[in-house]
Amino acid sequence: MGVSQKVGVAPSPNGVGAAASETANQPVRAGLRARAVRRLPSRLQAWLRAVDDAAHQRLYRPLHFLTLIRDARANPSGPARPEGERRQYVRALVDWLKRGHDAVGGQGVAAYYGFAEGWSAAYPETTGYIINTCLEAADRLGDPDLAARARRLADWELEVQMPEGAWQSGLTTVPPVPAVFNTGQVIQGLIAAHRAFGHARYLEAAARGGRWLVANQDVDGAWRRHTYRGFANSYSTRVAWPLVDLARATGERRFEEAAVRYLEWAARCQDESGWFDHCSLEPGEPALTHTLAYTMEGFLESSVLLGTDRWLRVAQRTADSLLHRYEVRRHLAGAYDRGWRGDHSFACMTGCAQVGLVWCRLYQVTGDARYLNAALKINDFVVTFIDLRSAWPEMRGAVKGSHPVWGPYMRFRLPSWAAKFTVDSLLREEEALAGLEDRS
Amino acid sequence: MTVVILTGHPENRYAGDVLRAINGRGVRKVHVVAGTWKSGPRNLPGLLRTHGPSLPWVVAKWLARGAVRPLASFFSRRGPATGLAADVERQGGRFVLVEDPNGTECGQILGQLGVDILVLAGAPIVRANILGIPRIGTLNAHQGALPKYRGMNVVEWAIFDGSVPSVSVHFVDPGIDTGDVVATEEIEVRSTDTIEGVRARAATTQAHLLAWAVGVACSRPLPRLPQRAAEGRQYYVMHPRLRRVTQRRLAGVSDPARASTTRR
Repeated sequence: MGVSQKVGVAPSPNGVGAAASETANQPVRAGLRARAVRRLPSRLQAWLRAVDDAAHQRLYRPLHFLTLIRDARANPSGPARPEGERRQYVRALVDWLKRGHDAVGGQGVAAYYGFAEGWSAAYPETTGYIINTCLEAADRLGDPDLAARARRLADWELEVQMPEGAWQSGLTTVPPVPAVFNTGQVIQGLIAAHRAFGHARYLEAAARGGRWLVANQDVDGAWRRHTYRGFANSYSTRVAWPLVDLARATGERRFEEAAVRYLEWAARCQDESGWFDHCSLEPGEPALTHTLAYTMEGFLESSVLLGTDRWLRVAQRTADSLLHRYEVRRHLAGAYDRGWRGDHSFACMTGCAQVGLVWCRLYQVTGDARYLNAALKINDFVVTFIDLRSAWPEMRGAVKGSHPVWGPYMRFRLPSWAAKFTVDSLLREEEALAGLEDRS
Repeated sequence: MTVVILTGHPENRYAGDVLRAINGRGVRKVHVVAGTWKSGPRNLPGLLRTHGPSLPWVVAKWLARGAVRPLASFFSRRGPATGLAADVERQGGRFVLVEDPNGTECGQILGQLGVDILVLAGAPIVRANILGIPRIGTLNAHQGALPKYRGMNVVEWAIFDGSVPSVSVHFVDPGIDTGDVVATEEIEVRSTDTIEGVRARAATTQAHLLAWAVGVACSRPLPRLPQRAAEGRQYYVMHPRLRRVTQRRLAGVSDPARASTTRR
């Protein structure tokens, strides 16, 4: 999984991530300094890292400086006050994604806009699932340009597919290393492209990716090779889901069997409270709502495709825990540790959008309106921090990695997957509300 | 029989309604303990954790909005009796202000009063240290049919679901709306109602149902129907979009059937 890009931390041991070469060439003095910092209390280390990051964020640019000031003024758990209609936000988000596509010359979608580095290179993993968003938004908004872009993105994914069938981790600027999670996300996009445009080449490429995933799965169902930080994680349920879908599209049963083997393994990582072990990006660290939501979404959508309640109940257990915490506190922590102690110093905006999406889907699947209620609130929270009128195109319609922007997840960056999941969540919300209006 | 009403605010109107309804049942000398407690952290680290870097703006807003509020609060502890306080004293009870309804001071006062039944009326969530004091128990009225509708905005949620909104009187245990149920009563709903109107009617019914329960407790043991923790659902504050849907559903209800009551 190319999460080294997503968290903006040190690259994986495989050398995955854009920062890999920079890290390898760090001078000795910097290494000594890093060792000295590691001896400090962990809280102080986090502050020092934040200050160090901030020093490199080109805060002299009005866009960056104003964002910083705005976030400093905003109460992180204050009331959400969206200034526009939902459709305005969807339009702005989609336009921002288009700018991310254009920024890399139409070759994929940029991973993020960073205060320090500007638009990043293209990111195969997230470009994969952005195809699904483009296709759905094209249909809802009546925007043929989006559908054309989705097709170009799918064609680009075929170009960057690795000879063994996998897709690489990290951005296209680093030497390609195959990655399980990333491959799963691209497969999902290609299946959607196949359904939308009917070209067999998309499905064939997805099937090659699927075969590579099956070949690299361990006997117990987990993926341990070609994973971020080289450990078996429980959020690859979002790889199992595309595999189930691939089995439907190709008729190859082994994809579904592999997916179910993984789901069995991942379900064993869950405790009674809904907490998942191995759900964090770094072993032993608190799990971001981003990865928790990946896990829930994988279980939920696999359950829908497989027509079984078993995985639905697993997804619900975690979703219910998060819902209760969110409703009581009126704020979703950026990350939770075992025992559900939350880090409320920041909100992981991608995670918030994803959790909103999962709640919307749970409402659609179970009919329990409490999920929709919570989804409406958290979507309000996410869109409150989307600037619809910014003079800077990089900010207009963007979703920050963290709120406040100096939070630890994608610090000072505006990731494309945050915009993608916000669009997904708002479209699901619209669909759910339309169903309600019909009944009332 | 010593009956004490515990409320979170010295001018809580609902507490006044409950007091008058209990008096209407012939029970006099009801005492009221009212908190001057305010929620939220009270120390600087707690405030910083809650508000983060926005704390200076929050403090500025507090100062701008309520510069006189601390003074008003100070005088309210010593000043002339408020509407509720006057009502309490008129029927022979004591009106006592406490800093925190969950605090030691409140516990001591309840102990001195020798409380048999504690009635919650607009009180915050009461902790076990207070719940253990009354001889018979602590009663609360909830705007929903227990155990099906626990939590917040359950009048709205019941209408949203197409159910008849109800109120329940229950004993309070350390859980939220999980204690033994004493009685339930349905609220009449008409197609011309607003959500606020139904809620107001529910509040009136709550006060009367609580008074009925207190009246019964003075003469015989109250009936208790235990709830199972797994029963029912916990509801939360309803989003304005769903409230609008609820209001439309309310407009579509048929003529009211006779509201039913379950008083054992």
